[in-house]
Amino acid sequence: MALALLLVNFAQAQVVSLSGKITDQSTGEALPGVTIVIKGTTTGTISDFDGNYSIQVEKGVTVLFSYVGYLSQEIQIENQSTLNVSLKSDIEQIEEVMVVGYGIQKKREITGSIAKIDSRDIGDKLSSSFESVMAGQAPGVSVTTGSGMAGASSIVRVRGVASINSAGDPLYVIDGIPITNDIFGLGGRTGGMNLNPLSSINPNDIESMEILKDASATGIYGSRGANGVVIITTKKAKGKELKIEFSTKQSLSTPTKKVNMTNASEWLQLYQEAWENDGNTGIPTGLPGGMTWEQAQKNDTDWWDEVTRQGYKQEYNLDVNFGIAKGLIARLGGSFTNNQSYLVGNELDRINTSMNLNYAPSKTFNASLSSSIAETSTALPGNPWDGGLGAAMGYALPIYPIYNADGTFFKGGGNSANPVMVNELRDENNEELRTINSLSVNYSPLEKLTFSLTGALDYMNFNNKGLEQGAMRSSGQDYSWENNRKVYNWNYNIVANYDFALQNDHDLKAMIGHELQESRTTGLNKNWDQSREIIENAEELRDERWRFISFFTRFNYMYKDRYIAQATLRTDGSSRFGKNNKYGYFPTFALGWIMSEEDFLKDSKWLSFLKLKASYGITGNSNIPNYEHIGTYKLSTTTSQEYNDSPIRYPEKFANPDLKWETTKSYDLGFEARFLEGRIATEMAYFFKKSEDVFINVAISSSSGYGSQWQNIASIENEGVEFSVKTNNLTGKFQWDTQFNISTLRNEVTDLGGLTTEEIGGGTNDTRILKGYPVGTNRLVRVSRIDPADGRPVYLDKQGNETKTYKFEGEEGFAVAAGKVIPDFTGGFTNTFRYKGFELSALFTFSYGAQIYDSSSKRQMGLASDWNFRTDIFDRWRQPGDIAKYPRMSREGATYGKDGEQWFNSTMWLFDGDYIRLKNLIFTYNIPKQIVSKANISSMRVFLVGTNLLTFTKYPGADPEVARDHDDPRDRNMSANVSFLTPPQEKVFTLGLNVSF
Amino acid sequence: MKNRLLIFIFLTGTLFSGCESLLEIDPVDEGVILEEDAIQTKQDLQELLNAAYDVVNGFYGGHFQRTSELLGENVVLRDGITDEMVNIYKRYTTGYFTDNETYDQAYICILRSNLILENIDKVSGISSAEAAQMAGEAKFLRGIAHFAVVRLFAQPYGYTAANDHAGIIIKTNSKVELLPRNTVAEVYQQIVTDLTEAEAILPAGNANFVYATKWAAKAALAQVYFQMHDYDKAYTKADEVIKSGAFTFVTNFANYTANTTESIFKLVSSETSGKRVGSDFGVYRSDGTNIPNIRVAPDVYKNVIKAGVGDLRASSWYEVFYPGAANEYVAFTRFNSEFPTVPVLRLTEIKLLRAEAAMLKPSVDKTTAIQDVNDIRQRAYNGSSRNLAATAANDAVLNAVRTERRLELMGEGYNLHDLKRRGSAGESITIRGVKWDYVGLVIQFGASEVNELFTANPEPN
Repeated sequence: MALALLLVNFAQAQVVSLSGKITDQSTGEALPGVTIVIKGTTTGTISDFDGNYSIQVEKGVTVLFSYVGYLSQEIQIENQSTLNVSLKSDIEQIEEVMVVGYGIQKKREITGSIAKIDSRDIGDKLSSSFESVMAGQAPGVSVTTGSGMAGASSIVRVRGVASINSAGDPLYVIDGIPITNDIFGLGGRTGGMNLNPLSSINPNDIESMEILKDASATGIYGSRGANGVVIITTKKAKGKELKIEFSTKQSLSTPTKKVNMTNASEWLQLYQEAWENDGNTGIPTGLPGGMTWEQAQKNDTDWWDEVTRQGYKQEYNLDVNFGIAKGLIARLGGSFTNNQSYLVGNELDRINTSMNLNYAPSKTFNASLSSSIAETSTALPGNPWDGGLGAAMGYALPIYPIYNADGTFFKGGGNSANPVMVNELRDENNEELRTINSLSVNYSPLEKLTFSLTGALDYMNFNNKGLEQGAMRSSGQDYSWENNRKVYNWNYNIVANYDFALQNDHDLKAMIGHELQESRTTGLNKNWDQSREIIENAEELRDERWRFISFFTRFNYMYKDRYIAQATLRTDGSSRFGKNNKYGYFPTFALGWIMSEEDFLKDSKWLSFLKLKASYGITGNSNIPNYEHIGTYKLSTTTSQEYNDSPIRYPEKFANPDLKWETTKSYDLGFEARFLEGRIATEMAYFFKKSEDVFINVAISSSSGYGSQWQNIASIENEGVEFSVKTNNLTGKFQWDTQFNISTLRNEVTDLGGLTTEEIGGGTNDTRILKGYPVGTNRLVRVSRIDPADGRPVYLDKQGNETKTYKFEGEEGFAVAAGKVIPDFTGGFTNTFRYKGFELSALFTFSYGAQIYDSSSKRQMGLASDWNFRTDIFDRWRQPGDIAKYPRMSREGATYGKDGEQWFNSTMWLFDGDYIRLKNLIFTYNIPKQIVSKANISSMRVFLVGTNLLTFTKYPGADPEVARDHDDPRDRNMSANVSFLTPPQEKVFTLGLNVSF
Repeated sequence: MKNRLLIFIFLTGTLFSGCESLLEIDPVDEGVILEEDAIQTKQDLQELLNAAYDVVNGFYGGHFQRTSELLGENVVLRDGITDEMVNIYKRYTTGYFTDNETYDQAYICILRSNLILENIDKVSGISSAEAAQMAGEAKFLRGIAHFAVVRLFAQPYGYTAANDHAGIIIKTNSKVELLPRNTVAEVYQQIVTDLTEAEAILPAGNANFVYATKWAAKAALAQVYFQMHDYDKAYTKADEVIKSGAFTFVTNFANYTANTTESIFKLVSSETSGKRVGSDFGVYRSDGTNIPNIRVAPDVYKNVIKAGVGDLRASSWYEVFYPGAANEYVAFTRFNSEFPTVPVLRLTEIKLLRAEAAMLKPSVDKTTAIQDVNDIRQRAYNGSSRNLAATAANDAVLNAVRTERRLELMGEGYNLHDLKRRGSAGESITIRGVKWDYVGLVIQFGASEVNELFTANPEPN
């Protein structure tokens, strides 16, 4: 029978010449380079530059037309000699691959929860630090850009906050090396939003960012995966053709909002009202700054205007891609950025160069070397922690002049109350040299087996230096300093991949690897005080050194192209762990089911893809300060530390041999679905993370003589739902795409090992760790109303009874957990419209349900003191019967319920932080090829970007999207929803140009 | 296959075991040493002792003094100050706004002292005499540190008849543990024991009195007995110090911060080494660009300081800024110094202590009291114009002693504890509007100190 068939076939074999043109179905443009193959053979051809092809085929065969990025088509040949084919672009991108830890995987086979952000989404949205572009783009990833300072860092949290004392930031991995991103390890609090090691990375060099969220994705990073992992892949050389790309952006910026502060006459009127309300008569005295009433009346300084300006930024990028020799290609990049923020005295300059060499002499071997150097220099405002703007919102009063009559600076309110003087007399700069280098070698001795070896070095040389002129110092002599940190961070990993290449629908792949990472930070602080006999003082800091040694493995199994299982295991040993817990083991297990492959769904018209997935895993967080488990003594190292010119030594901390990582157990359920040939794509995930052994830097009773110690104590739960959908609403000439994502989060401290909130310690601005509440919940006295009879605030005691006394802490105190730290939901919403070469895209981000505790309000709208008032205070009680938002003016704490109290930690300063923000509005014009090709340009794009153009919010402070400066990682976890004189974010208009040759 | 697996397991095992040592990284820092290596030799122990001395600056370097003054009646706080000094001044300290510094630093001093005592038998190369002296010094420091804390954080000795009211934790070992408060009686007993043992061991001279001596222990004991209303013993100890001849009464004026022959136990700054002590007195400073946050109460300046016509102290130790203007204030000048010396224990104070004790002890010694007062007045008025006559009435002498004690020690915190001592002895004493035993006059403990064993101080309502 078979023979007969063959004979029949042979008999019918008739060769015809087939030709035609291949075009893009949507644009009608010719497609060059399409592969045309006779199915089941290696016979084939490719289409020419105009999309034409011709091939000799036998009748009855099937011809396969395939092209990257398009859906393949199979056509059986009957009698035709002309066959024009229009290919449809593959919007489903079924074969999209994603970078996972130590490898890549096909998106359809991934069981984990991973969000991907492409280079264009990073490059266009101008920002001096790349991590801020994640905002609103990935569900479950919360990104709060700190402030309007140049290079300000963002607080990035993946699926909630699972730590208290320890840094809760995700692990950032660039080209295989977990990079240094400790914002507190570089010599302190020198920026409006602390200094930011990530700001030296050129966003233009980033090819893609993958954010690994669940345990099955992050498990391969073991003890460092619990807070999520951001994998950054830099741009690599592609092809041997010479390709040159140039881009530039020019931007203007202003603050998103000018905070309304009172002017001098308003301030004096309020002060007088307080004075008289307190029963005084006559001309008020006791004015701050040692001023008399007459002196004060003569001035009216608008400090805000004095310390802000129109910001201006410029950025230039030039990249070249070319071939050097057979198998050797290169990409070189150079970039210059200058960012003058709207804050006087604040400017960031950055020069980046990058290089990638890719050598692939054979199919079995390739090597890639990536290297980047960044030189960043940031000039900070005189008073860096608040961007120099805090004084203008607080203690720089409008009644203070800038200068005295004799032309010297006015210092009556103290140095910091004259920000113009501080900007003038105090210079502070951060200078950083950073280079990230990675070499990766891949070798496949067999088709089934691949080895890869990656070694990388991330080196940073950071200097914080400054000068305080004698005119603002008590000694009258200049003081300058230079604090240096050098971070040597290197690693290597060896990974073996084996594809078992099983028969009969089974697919099994295994990966096994080993990694070692070491980081060493050296520090030298120097200062020069001209008033000292020995002017120079140098202090060498102890080396901060840590090491991780890890072994890991991953098994991926798939049956019938639809049933997926993945298991990973990582073992981490770290120098940061105590003697009794040197190694941690982190297993994960995940299952996936591509339901759409099943027969009952396979032919569905409306459902094109459906995958269900579930995972469980254990990951850890080991952001513990180095040496924390070791008991130590300190020794004097300078004569100034000695006692009577004799050396001293004393206990610093006692040992904790049990110290180990934080353990997070994660459960995940999710699905991915695509409908109507991919025009609707949606993903949904539910997660539950239980973190145990959470570090607390416990306050040891002071009577022991010790301060505090890191112990594994608390438990925290995070739970949430994430949903995202992408739709192609309109296709054809006029295209409209929508992306929407939303996520919810429940965060709760479930166990504190019996510690009191005091033993754990509060965060900045009255935030607390309270059992049963989210991390960083405010503890405040509730204000019920302002008594219309006397204008005094009415508080609620613990039982909810009204009282006019204010009593904060203690057994009888009224302070209770108050406010909402975690929003009900947050997300992003992008609409993109395309018509011919035009594209308009708008990204809105939103947050609903959280409250912000504005600690500045406590002072701006509290007792009349040495702070300026916000004009909101006009809504205050003035006479009996007034229904007002704020109480009567007073200078006495007794009026507000407690004599001696300056500031009242009450719910009066808790504000709704809901907002919708037009984060980015991008208008792009791709100049038609016909026009640009005359100038030998292959593509050219101009674009206009507006950042933070609109903000809809009821929040009365500077900016509802706020992250104040922080003292330590704990504050970044605990005091994320508080603000204190934080400069608002910037509103930016950018004009950009991209040209490729 | 099986073999390969075995080899793999073997290699992995080897790697792991090799790794153990890679995972032990000790801090490499000339400024840090491992706990287990820290105290091996006599020199190590000596350095630990130096550290115990060094931290005295944390509480007696101005913090204790200024907190005492803020609670008392001599000073006012500058308008617009917004730190815990406001709460202290308003006599309303809380778990969050209180004098943590004095408390913490004193207990750090106590920990270091305890570690000396615990290690003294374990170190090499130490003679028994050396060991004894170090133990004496440690006990001296432990005693004065407890004394600082108990005066601020508990009601005074005598507040209850048996002194069984809550005091502070007595720490005589380095164990990290939660403890309840001891009674005031127990605390004072421990202080007396420590200082008495120190007195017996310590030498008469020790590096120009930056280290503890027999005399320092006696002076401290005099203060403790004085506070305990044990005027006999207070007199005796003070008298021994004065009669030792080790210290010379300075007859011309000197700033509090000057390094004089009066110092019985002192902390010293050095411009050469860059060492600074006494920075916490900076809140009084009015020199250069310093604007004092703590100022002399205007009525005290007018009615007390300037009461004695021709009193040189009034003109030498104070300065009036913006006289006559609405923003006029009176500043101390005697704490103006970039590199101050802090005389923790000094002759003038011990003399005035002896004078008062002389008048209060069962057998009154008026002659000594008058002599002490006259020494002081001779200096203050540059002559004998205001000297007491030998025939002065007892009351007059006692009043004179107390007036001079207040004037001489202005800003040093003694006045508050003198008033509390007199109140607890039965006098009707009011301190800036409140009775001597007002709860707000006792400083609150830091919030993290309080637990199920440890009760906080009551707070004013």
